[in-house]
Amino acid sequence: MNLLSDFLQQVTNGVAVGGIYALVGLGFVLIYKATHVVNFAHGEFMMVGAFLFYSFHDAWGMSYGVGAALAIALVGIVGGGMGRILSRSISDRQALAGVLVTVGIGMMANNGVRLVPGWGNDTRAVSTPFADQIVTAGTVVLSGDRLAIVVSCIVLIAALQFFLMRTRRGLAIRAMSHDRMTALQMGVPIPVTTSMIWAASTGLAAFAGILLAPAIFVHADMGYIAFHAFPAAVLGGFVSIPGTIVGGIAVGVAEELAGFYLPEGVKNVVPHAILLMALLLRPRGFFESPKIRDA
Amino acid sequence: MSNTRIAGKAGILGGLGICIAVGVHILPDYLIAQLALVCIYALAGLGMVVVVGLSGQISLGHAAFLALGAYAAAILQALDVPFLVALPLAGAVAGVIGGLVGVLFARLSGPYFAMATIAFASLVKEAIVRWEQLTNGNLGIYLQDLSIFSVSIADDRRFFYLALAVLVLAMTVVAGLWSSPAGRAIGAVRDDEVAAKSAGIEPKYYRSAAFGISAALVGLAGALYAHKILYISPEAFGFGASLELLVIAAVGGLAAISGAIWGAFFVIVLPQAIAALGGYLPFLLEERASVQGFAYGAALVAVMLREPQGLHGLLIGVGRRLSGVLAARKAIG
Repeated sequence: MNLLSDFLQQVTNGVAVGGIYALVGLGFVLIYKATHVVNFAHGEFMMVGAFLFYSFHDAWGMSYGVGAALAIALVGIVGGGMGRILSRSISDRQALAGVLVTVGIGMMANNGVRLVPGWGNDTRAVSTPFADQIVTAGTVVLSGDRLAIVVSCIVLIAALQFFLMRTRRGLAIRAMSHDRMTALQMGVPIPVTTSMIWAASTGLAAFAGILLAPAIFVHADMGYIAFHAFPAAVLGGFVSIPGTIVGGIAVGVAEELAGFYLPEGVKNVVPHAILLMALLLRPRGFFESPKIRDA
Repeated sequence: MSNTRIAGKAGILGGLGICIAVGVHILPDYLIAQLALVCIYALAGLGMVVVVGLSGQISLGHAAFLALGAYAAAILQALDVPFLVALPLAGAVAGVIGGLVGVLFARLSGPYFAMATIAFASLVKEAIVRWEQLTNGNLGIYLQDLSIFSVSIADDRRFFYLALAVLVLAMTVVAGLWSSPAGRAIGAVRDDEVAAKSAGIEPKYYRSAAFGISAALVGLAGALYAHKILYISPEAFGFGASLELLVIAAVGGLAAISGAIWGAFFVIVLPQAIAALGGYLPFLLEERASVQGFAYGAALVAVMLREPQGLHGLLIGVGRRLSGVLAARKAIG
């Protein structure tokens, strides 16, 4: 029985972690769907969100909810502005330049954070109201933090799905991702919608950062985890929300299982190995519907 | 090229050669060592210009080849393989692995490709850390002072000559490639894959070849780096190193070989500039590494938004404006 409960425990942990990966992956997918830009600075937005939350909640004493909301809002605003500048300066043909700009922004954020007094190179811990609560189901234990993650992910993803499927703005976003030109001609306000997408995506990243903070602590390099979420987005073909969720959970579970059963160090490379396998076996992802490639 | 242009270029090269020869004699050791590093970075930048500039494939994982070259060099030295054999061998190791990876990844487009390179570099780094028998893991490897045919190259000046020679050789080869039909084919694949294919150019083949060549160049740079710094460890070859490589090429100028040189100067001069400014703003000195990283990122963003051709493009623009001014003056009389 021990074997099974160990396994289940790891799977449960994996689902929790995977939820975050799904969230982060969704952020990638959101932006890519509509603007065909991969935001390589995504992880850094996550990190900045976590740092802001730390300052608001732990350093300045705001409540968990207010601190989180403020951090997310701030990151979202900055992200939205950034997306606007990016889409205005870089035309669709210059994909190379766009990617490099996001890489550069990421570098600025990563190093900039280290220069901020009070943040710096240290690792910070954040306190959460769920830290001391534990939920048990049989022999499987789920800490309060992890449960909060799972619940938040479910709520957020449902909200996102609702937003995309049932609102005008969501329709605009989907239209943009299908065919930008036609969307433009149909009156979709591209610049505003682009800003909104970037704001939503970076806000999501910030939220993921806040959720992750208790587990991996807040530090300047925590953004690297976003690269663990890449495979989630890739498995979803970079356009499918359910695919990304499944992908994220798959990565999370695989990671936890590898950490438990396989030799040291393998856990670190699991997401990257999954990514490579996914890319090589199905360069276009597992969940995408077949479509004609633009020449 | 007309005779006057050839004469002009020869003149510039000759002048450069004289400057270097004189400079090496009068400049202090410390600066010579920095110049050697510029050569090494330029060599690596050359590789990046080939893969990102010529071939249009963004790689965020080339530090892996830096590592492969460096570790190959260190291990070969430990096995008493003579340097003149070990250096090209190290480059070849990186190049072959790069070629294989290039083939594997050739089908991937833009962002997917970049992600794959990140994953690859991460795997390589982890492999280096875990394969302790070969690489000493996280403890790293110490190298012996370099000597070729029992002539010691530990001296700063001699090492500079060595690095310069390798760089010039590499630049000649890449320049030849750049203007050859193969080079044009690589550029064609970058510009329009479908058009290239319909002209009979197979993208997979040329993409992976370009990737392999760039890997070899970066690997050579890694080998030289190992012999210069005399200590290598996996830490030096992480994601940050890959980003730095990208900055060298992107800021220097992706469209031309000389971009690698400008980029190398940028990357070497910037820390010095920060240190100098630190005299006035001591805060800068404390957090030197972060200020540097921040500046790299800012430069990357600025370059891509304003002058995608990088420093090289900037200089060409300045040159053009100058000659325009001169021509106008001449016309007005």
